[in-house]
Amino acid sequence: MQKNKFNITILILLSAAFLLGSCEKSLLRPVPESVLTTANAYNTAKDMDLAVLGIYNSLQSRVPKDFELMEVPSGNVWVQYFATAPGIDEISTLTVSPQNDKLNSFWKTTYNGIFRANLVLANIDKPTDYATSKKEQLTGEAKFLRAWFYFDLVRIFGGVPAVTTVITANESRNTGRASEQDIYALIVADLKDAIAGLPAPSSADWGRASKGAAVALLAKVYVYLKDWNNAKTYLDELFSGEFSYSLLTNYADLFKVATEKNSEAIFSVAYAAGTNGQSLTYDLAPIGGVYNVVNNGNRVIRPSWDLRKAFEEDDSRFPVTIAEDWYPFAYKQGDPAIFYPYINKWLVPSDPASSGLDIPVLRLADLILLNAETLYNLNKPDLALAAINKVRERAFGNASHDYELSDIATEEIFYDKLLLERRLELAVENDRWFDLVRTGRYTTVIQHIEGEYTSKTGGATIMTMSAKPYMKYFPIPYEQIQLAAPGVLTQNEGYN
Amino acid sequence: MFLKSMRHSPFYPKRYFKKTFLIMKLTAFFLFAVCLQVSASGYAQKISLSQTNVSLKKIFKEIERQSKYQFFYKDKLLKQTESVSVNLKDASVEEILDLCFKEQPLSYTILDNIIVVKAKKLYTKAIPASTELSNAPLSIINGTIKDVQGNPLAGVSVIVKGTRKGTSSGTDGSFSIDANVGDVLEFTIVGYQKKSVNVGKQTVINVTLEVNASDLSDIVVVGYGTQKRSSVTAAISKIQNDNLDEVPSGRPETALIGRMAGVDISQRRNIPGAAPNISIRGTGSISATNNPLIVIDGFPGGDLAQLDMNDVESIEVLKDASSAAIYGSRGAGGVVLVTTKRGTSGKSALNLNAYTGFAKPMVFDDWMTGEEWYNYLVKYQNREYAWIGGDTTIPIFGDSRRPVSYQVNPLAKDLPQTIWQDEIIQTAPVQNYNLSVKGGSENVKYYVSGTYGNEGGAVKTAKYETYGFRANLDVKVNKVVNFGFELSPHFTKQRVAGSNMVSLVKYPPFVSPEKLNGKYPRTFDYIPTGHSGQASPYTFLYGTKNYNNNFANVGRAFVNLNLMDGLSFKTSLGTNIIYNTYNSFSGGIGDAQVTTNGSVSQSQSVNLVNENVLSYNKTLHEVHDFSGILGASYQKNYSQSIGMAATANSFNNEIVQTLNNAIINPSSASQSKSQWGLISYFARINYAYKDRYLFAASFRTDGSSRFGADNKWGDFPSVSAAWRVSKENFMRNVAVISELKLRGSYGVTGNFNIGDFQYLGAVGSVLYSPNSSTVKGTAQTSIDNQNLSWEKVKGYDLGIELGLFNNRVNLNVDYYDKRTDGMLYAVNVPAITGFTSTIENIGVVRNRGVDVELYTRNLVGAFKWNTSFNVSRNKNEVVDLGGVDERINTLWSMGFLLRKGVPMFSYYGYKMIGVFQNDEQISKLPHLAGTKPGNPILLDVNDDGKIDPDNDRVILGNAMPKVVFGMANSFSYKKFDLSITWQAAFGAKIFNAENQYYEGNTLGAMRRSLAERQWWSESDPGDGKTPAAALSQLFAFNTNTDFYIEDASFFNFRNLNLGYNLSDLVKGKGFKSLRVYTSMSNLLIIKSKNNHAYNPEGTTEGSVSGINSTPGVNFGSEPLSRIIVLGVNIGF
Repeated sequence: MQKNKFNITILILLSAAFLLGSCEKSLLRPVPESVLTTANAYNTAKDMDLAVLGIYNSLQSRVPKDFELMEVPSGNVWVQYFATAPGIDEISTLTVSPQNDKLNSFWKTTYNGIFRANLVLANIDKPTDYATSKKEQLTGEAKFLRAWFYFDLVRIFGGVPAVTTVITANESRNTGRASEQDIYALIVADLKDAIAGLPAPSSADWGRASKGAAVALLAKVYVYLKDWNNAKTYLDELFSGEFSYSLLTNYADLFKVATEKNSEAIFSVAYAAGTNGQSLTYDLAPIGGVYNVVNNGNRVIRPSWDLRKAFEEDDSRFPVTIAEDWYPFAYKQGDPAIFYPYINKWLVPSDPASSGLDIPVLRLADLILLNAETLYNLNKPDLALAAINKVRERAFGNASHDYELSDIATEEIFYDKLLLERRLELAVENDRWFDLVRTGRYTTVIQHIEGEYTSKTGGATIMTMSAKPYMKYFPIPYEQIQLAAPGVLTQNEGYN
Repeated sequence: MFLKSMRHSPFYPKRYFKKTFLIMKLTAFFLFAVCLQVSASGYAQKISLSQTNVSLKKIFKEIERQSKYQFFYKDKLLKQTESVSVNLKDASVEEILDLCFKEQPLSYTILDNIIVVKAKKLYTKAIPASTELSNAPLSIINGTIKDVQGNPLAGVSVIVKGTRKGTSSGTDGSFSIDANVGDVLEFTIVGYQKKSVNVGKQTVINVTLEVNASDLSDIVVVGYGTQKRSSVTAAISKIQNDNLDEVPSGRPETALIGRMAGVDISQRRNIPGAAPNISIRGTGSISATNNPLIVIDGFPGGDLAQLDMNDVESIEVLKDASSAAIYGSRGAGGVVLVTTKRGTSGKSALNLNAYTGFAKPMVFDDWMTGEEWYNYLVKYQNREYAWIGGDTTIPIFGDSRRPVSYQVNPLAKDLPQTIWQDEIIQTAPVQNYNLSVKGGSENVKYYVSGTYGNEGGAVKTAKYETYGFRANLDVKVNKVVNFGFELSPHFTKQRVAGSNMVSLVKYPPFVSPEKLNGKYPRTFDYIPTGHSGQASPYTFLYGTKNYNNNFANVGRAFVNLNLMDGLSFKTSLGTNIIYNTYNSFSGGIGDAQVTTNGSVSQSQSVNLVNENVLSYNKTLHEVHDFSGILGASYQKNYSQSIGMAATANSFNNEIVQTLNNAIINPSSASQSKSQWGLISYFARINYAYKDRYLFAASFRTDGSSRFGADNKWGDFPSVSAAWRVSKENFMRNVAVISELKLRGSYGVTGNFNIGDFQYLGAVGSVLYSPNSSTVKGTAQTSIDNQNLSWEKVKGYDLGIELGLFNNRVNLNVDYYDKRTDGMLYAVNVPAITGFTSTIENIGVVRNRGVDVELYTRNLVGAFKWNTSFNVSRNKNEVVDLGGVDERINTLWSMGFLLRKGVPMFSYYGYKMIGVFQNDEQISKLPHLAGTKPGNPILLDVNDDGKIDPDNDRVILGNAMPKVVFGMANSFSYKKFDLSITWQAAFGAKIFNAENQYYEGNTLGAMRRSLAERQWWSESDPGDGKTPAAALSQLFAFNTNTDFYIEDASFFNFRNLNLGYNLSDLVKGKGFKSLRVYTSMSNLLIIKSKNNHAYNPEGTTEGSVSGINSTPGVNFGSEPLSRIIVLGVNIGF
């Protein structure tokens, strides 16, 4: 027995040892089964196509919240409910601190999009199975989107770090800000490449960039640069026979799901209700929802009296932009309407959190007005006037509200009319603040905000909001300055 | 290869395998028997035998041939037997064996068809009776030995004092021994108090032995073994399950609160079934979890939720790095070792422990309603309107010059009033039933138990049910082999209330809880603006059904071989199988404004561990004690989860609430599979010289799949030593001191609690919808880091153990200092990388402190009184953040600071020094932009005339208590016993965001004490310390100051347990013992006047669990409940 015992032990020990020798690999080197890794994700043309969709995803997730930074300071809206969006209060009163979380998250998501574009460009040569012009298309999309992201960044922050490759954390700590000029140069170069590679609008998927989108964006960028000649070159191309964009007859159709794919939208960020929707309907609708539209809302922003009183009564854009008679979701036939102004644009019948309405971020009316501005600056006031009137005629349904040349006697007055038209046409479409900044008018126009108003007197509550010259840029997010090596990322003037 | 050649070896142990087979059969039988709870009764089989002068073996074989019986015996036993002759016809097996064994030193036991043959009682046969005192006539003394519960005790050694004459009790506790009139019988068995009985003229002596508490607590479970308490060189706390299973709580942790120094268990939520937070000696990690490793009966990586306290024998906590180092990569948060109850030899003992009672939440009683509430609203809206330049002389209601947002509808006060807090809480039933059986023979022991528990939550609809089963079996096959297994299927069913406490409680009082037009009305059904748009709390409570079902089973089988004296080998195979289903449905039950939603997710994980440990202990020359272990462990975890959800509002109705009644949202469907593996080798050596100088050293090396290719392996050494000063000669004369031990230890432990595959750059799915159809695009979601490795904690511990007055007073004091190095932490990186953070080994955190445990036996007579008291103090400090000096998280504009030299996640904000009364004051004092009268005056820390976040924010405390006290007193007098436990914690702060819901900001439910002290106007300034409570001011001016930072210190009378023993009353009536008791928890809570939370230590945003943690934030933790139950403990 004694002998046997030892043999048994040896046997067990050894069999254990056997078991173990073979299991090191299976125990310590498992392979992930339900997720790709950087090592195996970019091999085929399809992989690259999916990676490009990944860039759109960054834009898609940010755009519905862009109003917090781009519309809130413009005077078009006022913020009622701070709790849902901490940090928005500072923007609404233009007392933005570098710690503002909205700015930091905007910076983060935008650079995340730039990273995804850079990653596509870094891997674009790996696959060998591209169909004709597919590689150029994907490159063009990546560059278009990168330009888009930088255009947003440069307008918000001024010069920012120019990142065009995939960089390591260490490199990132030592990457400082490029000049505003350099960023614009990068945007222009990317858009020119995009124009070369992108397909015509007719052959691009809806919601993906086309050549028309790149041409339009480049024209817009040149207007921001006040490079009127170059702006004209691309605007001319846009309005040439190559593309067939046209204004819709009915302004309201721009913001309906049924007509979201239309001839006026040059580039829309696409959503699908339920599966991949956006939250504008919920953010803008009053608490208590809107009858027949949405069962609840969060009224993050509401229309200001400034904006309301700018509309003429028969402007078809007014009821699309602002609703004043509110019928809550629980409305019953015969209940009186409640006077409660709310932003009506972007509200479509939907599940609150997942509206399928595509957001047209670049549309023809914008470009027509930019064209008016360009033409005016190229000493063609008559053509400029015609362009503005084109937009007004659509808004009023006829030519009765057209301006005459005498109405735009001086440049100042022209810009008054132009910016008013842009304001009314593009309200809550994230252009007003940038228009005021690029024309230098923000310090005079934004001195206070007329907030909640009543039907009786129109008398609105007045909130202080005083734009100072340095506020043309928002502060660089404090956290990003902290994360960079000391002194690498400099703060904008006025925020130190 | 080796296996093959072994098979041809002449030493190939055939018999062994036969026996193994038998053992397996035996086990199978046993399982069967135990499961069905049938008692073993023999088969009525008739056997005929006619053999002359044959060996017993041959007889056995013949019986086996003719019947279903199988014999089970050691060869060695038969060697001493004599040949027998048998001639029987149609005899029962018992008849045959009784005949054959008549003259043999053998006995037998029949278990179903198994016949176990063993030696007759050892002492009677082996030791010749002493004749020195045997002048008086011998008489045979018979009797039985039982424990206090009346269970027979087997294996008790019965010795005639002063002689070598002795015997031991049988399975039924009976014994028989020859003794003289003047003799004294001594009864001894490990774990029970020794008892001596004068024989006198008695011939029947029945004895009851009492459990020797100090004996049991003398043994301490350590990693992969046990040690004598006196030999321990590390800091280990132990608690024995005396009456812990009578503390009413669904989770075992709750019963442990306040009982161990350095083990801080906090009950941050009162959700039935929710895990309390355990931290052992402070928080050492930012991103990897700080939870201790739970080892249940040797299975590493269990969960205390899988246990029922009734099944727990004892719990040991390895607190210092040296004792936890044997668990290497998972010991950094400390190790909790749970030992469950096992069978004892003797007659089966059936025990029922049942309690039932109720839990009543402790709530507030200063809610405002009606006129008072309405007047507040009017003041509030006028103040808001004035702030934005409105004319407050315009009537408050019905005048269209005043925007609706600033109007107050008088209906609010005219409608019937409801205090929603009182509507949504409940006094909930609490019950728990446990039935257990234990018993066995000398060689086979079992413990089987079943538990049902049920408790309701503080919030209506919340509840938690548990169904637990446990079977522990130990089989001693022979002197060499014993084996055993544990099974513990455990099913829990939890329903979580549909919304959190604040959103249920904060509802305006004018809304009725009665249904109206087929639905629970909401504020807008009465007043369409100016109030919360949220649905009725009842809609959330009753319309939402969130069920969390969990099935888990920790099971393990082991074989232990006693290879030679002192050397044993144990190999075990364990599994922890967890299957979890979460079902969620929410509907409006008539309220069409509520979106119907539903989702389901399931996850499974299978964790397998094989552990092999060789143990050796040897004493040389009676003074050198050596012991050591050598082991290898292999663990693998597979997990998979799937989930899907309905498209919002797609349920056809609310009758069928499963997803087949809705459209599945294709982008919500998910599946993930993952796995991790761990290979470990470990060794430990203990050496003691004369029981006086003790040394221990251990080493473990772990390889983990979670780290980069070159960083998979980590080493975790430890050393410790102790000097038992009291054993020295010079201490002999110090009678006061019964024990004095000095200890010192150093060890390294690790933390691998990050997700699987974190070292790889993962490419995940993201959505986009070109042409309105949703596609899964791809995006890289994490930065790869091949250098990722262990987080290591290096810690030392200095301890002193002092026993005074014959150990009536025992004091343990430990000082510890531990550093977490190479902390696994998601370091924020510049966003221009495309990422916001990446996980790296960077940063250092230090925890140091003192643990004191004092145990005293104050009274030892008929009235017994024991006290166990503990204090712990921990200081946490961030030492290094890996190249960054500080970083700040922000929640509701309050900062949570990580900074060198400061406890982690300290609150960081402005110090409030008053409230601005008017514009003139504002113009004179530094202030934030936009400040209005009614906003706080902030301290200008650097006195530069302005308030800015860089220079004027200060540290406002943190969520970790500075000192925690616990005390348990137990008393017993005659048939009464009483134990009282309390706990107190001091120095923690909470960010009590809960207040803002009740102080008037949201115009919902308001507490008078919070709302009435605030600033209204210069002429109505409140208490001068409370700023205006207004949603519009909240984030810009209030939550970034210390206004919401409240003192979380508290005293909680955790438990009182009063029992009365009625055993005498019921004995002989089918019962062995009966005890009735009442147990009451959370009897009294005393908190700081400054603390306005329901639960003084309640927090809702979690503990430290990543770089973006905001611990200490309370958004409405549920009130604690006062629980009162009545229970019985019956032995059959």
